[in-house]
Amino acid sequence: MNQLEQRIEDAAEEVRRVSRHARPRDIGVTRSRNSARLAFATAFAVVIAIGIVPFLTRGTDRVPMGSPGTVPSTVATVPTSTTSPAPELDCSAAGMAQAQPQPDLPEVVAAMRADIVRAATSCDYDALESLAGTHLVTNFGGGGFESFNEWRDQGDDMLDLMVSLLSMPHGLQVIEGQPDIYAWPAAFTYDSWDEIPADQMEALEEIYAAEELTQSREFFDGYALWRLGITEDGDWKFFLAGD
Amino acid sequence: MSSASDQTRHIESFDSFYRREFGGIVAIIRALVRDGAGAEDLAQEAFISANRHWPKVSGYDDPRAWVRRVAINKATSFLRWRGAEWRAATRFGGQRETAIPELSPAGEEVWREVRRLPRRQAQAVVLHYVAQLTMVEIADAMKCSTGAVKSHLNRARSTLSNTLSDWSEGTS
Repeated sequence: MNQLEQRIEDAAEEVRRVSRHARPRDIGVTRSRNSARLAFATAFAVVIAIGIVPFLTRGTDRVPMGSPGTVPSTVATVPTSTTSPAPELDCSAAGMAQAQPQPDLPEVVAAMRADIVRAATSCDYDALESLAGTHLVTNFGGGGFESFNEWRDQGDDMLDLMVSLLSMPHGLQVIEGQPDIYAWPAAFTYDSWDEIPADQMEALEEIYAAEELTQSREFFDGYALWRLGITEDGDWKFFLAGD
Repeated sequence: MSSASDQTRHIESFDSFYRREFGGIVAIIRALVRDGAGAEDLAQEAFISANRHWPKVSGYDDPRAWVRRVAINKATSFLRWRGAEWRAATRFGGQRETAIPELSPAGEEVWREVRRLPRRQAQAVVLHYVAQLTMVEIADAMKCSTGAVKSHLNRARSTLSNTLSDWSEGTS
């Protein structure tokens, strides 16, 4: 074992050792501890809420498509056997599973979804930029594809999260006078938090820390975390979080 | 329909699982997020999710794998969404209570450099060295191929061989 390996092994042994001092609390204590920090969470959410993009706000007619039993694919159930090796690729989505077909998607939407996943899992930023076009919304100032470069430069390229979201059930966002938008996860398309089915909540709990879900529920009464939208015409419309 | 005794068995089974595995999950998160109290909170969140879905999760081949995946996702969510807020909370509220002792300077330096790696590389390092998982188990936790795991580890080792190169002369 070389010196580097030995040093990491020693550090790993130490973190395992000190972590044995951690004592599992009764289930439920974490929420009360976290509630003490909710003021910060709320302030954070207020900042996010400042720049509301009209066509992404609630009040539109959104139709969940991913009801239990009709769209079985969730983060928890994507088979790992479909993953492809990508030993030379360097991004967070490298080697993740390709998109599994989902029912109810128009052909152009399904194609765009598959192309986005393929580009992300290939770490192909040129392809992603081409798919994004010039109208992609990634923040409340618009953002565009440049946000992906910024996220990559900041050390969290977001690609694995995007691929994970696209493996979840989708919903339909209907806005009068505009093309319908197919959105992932379907949780975004429910009018209130309580309408989100249990299986979709389970998938969300696998991705997000409890506080983020609590913020979303208590402050927005709905899913206002990361989501991706593709119009019925097959245009990649948004990938962003907030309300 | 499950009987009362079935429900009791589920609860007892989860309780045993929770107490046995908690420290291991805390260790994974502690390496990824630095803060001991935060690691305990996030680990507990992962187990709360497991408890909520225990009838299903307990049926998986390895419920630990599910909890590990949830734990690293929650750590990512924590870092991604709460970074600024967490820094503010720490700045104004000081250190929160934790039963986890501080790491040695040499140990803390290792994890500080690991946390500076691209996130997926850091996850691969922690799952390999701290959780002592196989490549297949890491790939399952990270939902990617074993080839990608090896790539993340190789890149991480390459970077760490530079950033930690002065250790033997400095902090040992």
